[in-house]
Amino acid sequence: MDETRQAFLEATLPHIDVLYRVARHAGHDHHRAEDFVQETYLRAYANFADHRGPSTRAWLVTICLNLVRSDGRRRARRVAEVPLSSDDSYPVGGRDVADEALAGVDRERVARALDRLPEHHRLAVVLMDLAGLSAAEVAAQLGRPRNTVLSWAHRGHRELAALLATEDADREL
Amino acid sequence: MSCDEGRLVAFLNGRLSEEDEHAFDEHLLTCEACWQAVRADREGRQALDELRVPAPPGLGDRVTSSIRLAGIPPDFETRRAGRHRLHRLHRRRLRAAHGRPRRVVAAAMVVVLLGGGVLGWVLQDRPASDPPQIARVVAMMAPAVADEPALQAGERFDFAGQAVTVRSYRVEGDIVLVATSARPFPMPATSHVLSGSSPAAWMAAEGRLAMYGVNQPAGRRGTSMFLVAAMPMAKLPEVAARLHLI
Repeated sequence: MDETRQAFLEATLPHIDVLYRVARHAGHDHHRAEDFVQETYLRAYANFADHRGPSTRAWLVTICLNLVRSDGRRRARRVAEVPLSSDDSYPVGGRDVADEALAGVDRERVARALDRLPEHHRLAVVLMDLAGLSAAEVAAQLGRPRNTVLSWAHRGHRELAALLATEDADREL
Repeated sequence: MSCDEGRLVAFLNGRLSEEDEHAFDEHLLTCEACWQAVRADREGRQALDELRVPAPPGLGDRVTSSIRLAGIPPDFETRRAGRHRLHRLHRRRLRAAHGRPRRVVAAAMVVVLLGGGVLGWVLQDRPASDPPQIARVVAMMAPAVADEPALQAGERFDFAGQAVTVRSYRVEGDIVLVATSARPFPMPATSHVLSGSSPAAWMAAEGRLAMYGVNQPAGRRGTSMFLVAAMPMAKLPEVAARLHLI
């Protein structure tokens, strides 16, 4: 029992950063990212015996993405909920507080712009750029041809750059 | 060369042959649209560097703790044989036969338990021939748990703002309910706080039911939990250890 749990944690915990990014940016419910990650691990643990794939990371991302997307569909059918806490900020790391605060502002800008991309483009960008999956793995995740996924990611990059440039221009006015 | 998004994407991802890449380089010198597309793609990728941050401190501990609380992992051989599917079907049939979903039963159980010290109300003022309601609840839970210990995702409830997850296990024939929450559970008035324990642990008994809880201190991240089972109170810490909860 302990050996199984230890083996599971050793195989999966190195991917927690990737899962957190997917949980935070694949959907729109940022403040539940940590809950999605925890639930991903619980489900993965329950199915660890069935995991035979070559990539543990891709397997975990699949579980996390399904959770985020099904939660998004449920929420779309419900009246919008307003979180009691609006603290959506990124965790502060070990850097100097002032540097971290400035970096946090940039991160929030990019996160907001990413949130505005069309869903397919956002997912392709999140899975390829933030989760580090290959185009083939993302194609398998989204059930679309590899070239389509690459095209979505490219459009996502361009749209992201355009949104940030527009925001910069607005701030200078 | 004409503008073609497929070729542009292949160029950006380094998937053109050397000859085609050279040709596309030449094309970029004269095509403003493609040049701007390449620049925008690179700016977008660069902006995403901001979001490659690590998970918040403490999330790894939270995950590890929840895996520990998830209890006994699945019997791999059993799962491979597909018996879990039959088991689920069996549970659904039992639920249908009882005419009451397990979720409702578990909810009723937790409502009673979270009252802290109010278990007595279900045990009193009942005709002698009528089994105590709580015992019936436990009895109804019995068919819903696995014959062999099995990991469960747990049923989640929200009681007065406290999110609670409940799992049920069979340990040597006894049904054990395990409730977990990110917030400490209220202790029954009759509970004994175990001295010297950290985090704070308590035990209580109501009728033939025993409870054992471990509360994380307020303000500290972690999972609080308590067990309830129809067994001697002193046996519960051993059961908790056996389920790898402590």
